[in-house]
Amino acid sequence: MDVKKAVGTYHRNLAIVIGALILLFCLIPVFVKTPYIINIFVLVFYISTMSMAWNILGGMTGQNSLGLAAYMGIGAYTVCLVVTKLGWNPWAVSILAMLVTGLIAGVIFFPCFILQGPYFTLVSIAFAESMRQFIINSEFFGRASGVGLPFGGDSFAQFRFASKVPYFYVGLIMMIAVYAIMKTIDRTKIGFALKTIREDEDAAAAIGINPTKYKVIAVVISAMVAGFVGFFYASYIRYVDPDLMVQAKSTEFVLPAVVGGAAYVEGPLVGGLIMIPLSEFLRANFARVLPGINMIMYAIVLLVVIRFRPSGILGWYMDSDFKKFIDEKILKKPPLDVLEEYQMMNYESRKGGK
Amino acid sequence: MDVLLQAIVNGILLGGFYALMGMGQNIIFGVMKIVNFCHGEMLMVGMYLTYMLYTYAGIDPYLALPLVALIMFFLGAVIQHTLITPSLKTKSFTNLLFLTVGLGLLLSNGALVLFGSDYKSIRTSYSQTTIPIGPVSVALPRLISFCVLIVVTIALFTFLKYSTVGKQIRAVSQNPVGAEVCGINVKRIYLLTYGLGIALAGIAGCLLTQFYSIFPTAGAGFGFRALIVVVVGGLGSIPGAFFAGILLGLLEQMSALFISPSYSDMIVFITFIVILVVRQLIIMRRK
Amino acid sequence: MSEKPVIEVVGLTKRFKGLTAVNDVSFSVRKGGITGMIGPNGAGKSTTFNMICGYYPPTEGKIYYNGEDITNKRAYEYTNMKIARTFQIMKPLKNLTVLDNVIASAYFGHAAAKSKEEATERAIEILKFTGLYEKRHVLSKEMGTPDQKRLEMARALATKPEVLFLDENMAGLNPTETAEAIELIRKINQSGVTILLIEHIMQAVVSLCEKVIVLHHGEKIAEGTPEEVMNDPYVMEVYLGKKAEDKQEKEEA
Repeated sequence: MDVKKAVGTYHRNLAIVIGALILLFCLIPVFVKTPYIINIFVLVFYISTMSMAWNILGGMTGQNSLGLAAYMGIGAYTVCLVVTKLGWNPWAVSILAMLVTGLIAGVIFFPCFILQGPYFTLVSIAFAESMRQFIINSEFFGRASGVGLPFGGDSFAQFRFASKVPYFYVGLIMMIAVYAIMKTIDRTKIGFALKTIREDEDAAAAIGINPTKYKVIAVVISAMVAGFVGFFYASYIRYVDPDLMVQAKSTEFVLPAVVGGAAYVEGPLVGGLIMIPLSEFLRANFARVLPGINMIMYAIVLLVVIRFRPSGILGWYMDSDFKKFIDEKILKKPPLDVLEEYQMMNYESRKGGK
Repeated sequence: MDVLLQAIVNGILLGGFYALMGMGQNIIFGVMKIVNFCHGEMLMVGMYLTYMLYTYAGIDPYLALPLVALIMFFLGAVIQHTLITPSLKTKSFTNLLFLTVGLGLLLSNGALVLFGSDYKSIRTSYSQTTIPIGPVSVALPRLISFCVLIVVTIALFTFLKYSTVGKQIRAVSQNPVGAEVCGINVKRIYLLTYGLGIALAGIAGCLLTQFYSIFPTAGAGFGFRALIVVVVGGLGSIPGAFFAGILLGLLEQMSALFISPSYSDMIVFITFIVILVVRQLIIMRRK
Repeated sequence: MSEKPVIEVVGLTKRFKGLTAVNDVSFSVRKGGITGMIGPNGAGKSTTFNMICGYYPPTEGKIYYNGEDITNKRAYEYTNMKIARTFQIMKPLKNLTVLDNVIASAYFGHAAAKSKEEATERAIEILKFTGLYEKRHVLSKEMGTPDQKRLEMARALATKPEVLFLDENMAGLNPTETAEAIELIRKINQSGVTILLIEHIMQAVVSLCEKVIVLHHGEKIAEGTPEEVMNDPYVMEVYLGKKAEDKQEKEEA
């Protein structure tokens, strides 16, 4: 029964740490009243979520897309157009937005799945850029000037608030929910299929994985998350224009994942939490004198990480003594064998119970 | 009819720049199998270099051309040595991709910090001169650019085909391990290749200053078109890049003339997607 | 023991742009046995193998599995038909641990695991069987060739195949490691798995196979028990390199 006790302690400690972290985030708006700081956190939440959306395709499946911003744009446009023209409820439209982006990714983009490596990256850029050009040239989408959402009093049903605090909480929930989804994918069948494809497509086919099928799944999930973030963004900014869909934005969404560690589900979160506040701080304080200074910092951090820590901040943490310290002293994590034994014990007892 | 002829001539002249950019991208992609996502930014750096040489040292843009090419070559070599070669070892294409993306961010935002976001331009005594060729009139700088392009294409083709270093470059692009075994210093070839590719972007940038505004994101459109040129023209083929560049320029001008100027970008991108997919289908059919 | 072959290949031919890599090769694999395919480098073994496994579509010819035509099946459909393969050039999932490598396999194929626990249980069982259990938490890229070869087999076994194709599973191993690998293959066979293997190492083929097919220049030149094949004059010639003119005469004949 030692196994059970040790694992129980570990799980309890883990729950306490995660709970404390979430609580800490929840309490931020209670103590911090400046809209500026709250805005930075909202940025952290939705950019990290976008980065997770990229990561399932780039980090997990090894397909480096550089056109995710276009899907976010499509999501935002769907919300703005349907809400203003048809008067639907924005929450309902968020589901529609996900369906639209998912369909575009799964059906129109489908022929592009035969492309591999750098060619996939190129086609993702070209595809995103064609969508943006289409919108710029379309009267329906408001051409280059974009589409807005109606203003008015605070209303949860309309997801419309003067204060930034409600967006903070919705953004936080969105980020945690997407993280939970990604973590589940990572641990189950789809995740193993995607990682196998990343390592070797022929090896994947040899064990019975249809590479195209799983790549479609990854792209559709990624696009749907981006579509939902588009809904969040549109409701927050209350406006969308084609500038949201430029390639530079797509790049911006990838950076947290690469800096944080693209091989890990947590990578985009870690990268986002470190990079975005830093970038916003630089923008706010130096942008007038030195425009672009925040992006320079971004670029330098990116180059340094790739040059010296190719597996990102988390990759470095995983090998560090710091992790050992946290695992052993704070979480009291038992050795892997014990965890495995516990998992099997549970499985056996459940099988027996059936 | 004159409008059509004018559009054809403009298309060819514009295509010349795509060809120049494409050749640089082509040898980098061909030798190291990495996509240089900061190629457009390198063109922009070439533009600012020419601008500085003209404004502060009074050097005529065309006289500055060799100097710009040389400086860009060394810039490329330094980047290759300090950043790309070490990262090539990890064999992670994701990392190499974002390395060049990061470099692009650094360069375009660096230009923003140094020069601001306003448009700059170089006006020389001859930049407005036009030369009539039959019913079409061509700006002198564009004509000169095109001549430079032809000289560069022939020089590059001859260099890769007949010189020892050129042969070494081609050997490395075929098989780096095999080349290393044969006693070729692969790292040195990488250095040369990247330097050469960047120098070509620099030449394009220098020539472009005569009729294009200089601003931090001036190279973005050219950078992506260089990639189109590589894919369409074929890996490692200098004549292929030349003709693909011209074709691309023509496609843009024709779609602007016959459909609408605002749709020409979209048509270029969609054509590119179709070409990529069809090309891959043909490769798969052969297997 | 049924008389009907589990795998039957009829008139298999592959041409690459005029070059005929494999020409009219026919053979069958008996259920429950170990069949070997040998031949010098460039004989077309791997091409044949890749065609049988669905990686290359054959130019001509048919492949039957338990009497069913599987010629046009795609590579990823094979594990659903209880057929698994390994690769000559190992393809471990480099950045995953050995355990995760095998778990990934256990999730797919005809007996796909329904849950993570089921996949893990099967993976552990197979790792114990193949002798990799102690190294299960090592990243697969950090292992040596012999272990990676074992991992190839473990990954294939995790899909619970009835037929296993092994592509040069002993290439690059020293004699001790080869002996271990032979032992493992025999053990797999005894658990009821039909095996078709490509091998360079004669010792392995002789001690394992009940039937051997010899390919040369893309054509089948001999078939039979190891003893029969070893004593075939043409096979000896191909392997031991008799005088050139003799060979030419033979080809002309």
